[in-house]
Amino acid sequence: MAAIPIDKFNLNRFWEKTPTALKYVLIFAIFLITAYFLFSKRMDDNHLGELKQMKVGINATYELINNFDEFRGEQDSYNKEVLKYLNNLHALVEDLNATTNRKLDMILSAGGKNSQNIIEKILLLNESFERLSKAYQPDIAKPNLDNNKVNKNYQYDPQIIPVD
Amino acid sequence: MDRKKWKSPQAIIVMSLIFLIFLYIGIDMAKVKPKIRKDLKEVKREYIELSGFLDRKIPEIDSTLRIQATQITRQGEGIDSLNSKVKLLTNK
Repeated sequence: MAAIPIDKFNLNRFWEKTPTALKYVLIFAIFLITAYFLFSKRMDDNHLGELKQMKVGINATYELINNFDEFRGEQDSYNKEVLKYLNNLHALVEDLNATTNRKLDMILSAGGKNSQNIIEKILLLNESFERLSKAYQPDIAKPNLDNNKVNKNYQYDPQIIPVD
Repeated sequence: MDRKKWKSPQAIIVMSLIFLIFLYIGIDMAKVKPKIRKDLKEVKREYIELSGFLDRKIPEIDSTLRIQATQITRQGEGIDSLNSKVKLLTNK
């Protein structure tokens, strides 16, 4: 077994004793590995990164669809609540109107008796309509989708029948 | 003389170096290429699944949005009708 004299290592002598063909093969191998690191490996890493990104994109799409399903349920129940709320409010207004008409009929049929009392009742009814108008208009005009405002503001009354 | 050179320690070192370089490239490619192929197959399969899922879901989403648009329109109509009713009764 030949031993290499490392202490007196000389690169020129080392090359001299290496076959020429092997030198060319070594140079070729060095070029090859340099090219491999510069192009092929980088491309492979990029491919892997792209594939990873695609998987993330696919999962994000699934998540988005699932979120939409949740949103759909919430939004649908919210819309139904608002519609029910509006119907009940409409019924309330109709009810108040009917009561007013009834009271007016009563007043008219009273034939001029207790006129002061009658005027007070009319004023009271007008006031209640004004209050109703002020109380409900701003809330209806700006429905808040985030805070379940309907549930907070609205107390459902089963006695009130919605008007179609 | 030249035949002797091929058996010299220098030649053996250079040959081992060349062998190691090719071995490294070979092992790295054998490791990375199948992984890329496997990942590519997986992504392709997932894409096909997603495509089918979206084919089912997109019409659902579309109809949901239509329903909600109708509901919102009805809400608007309800609000308008209520406003006009309250206004009418207040001005009576």
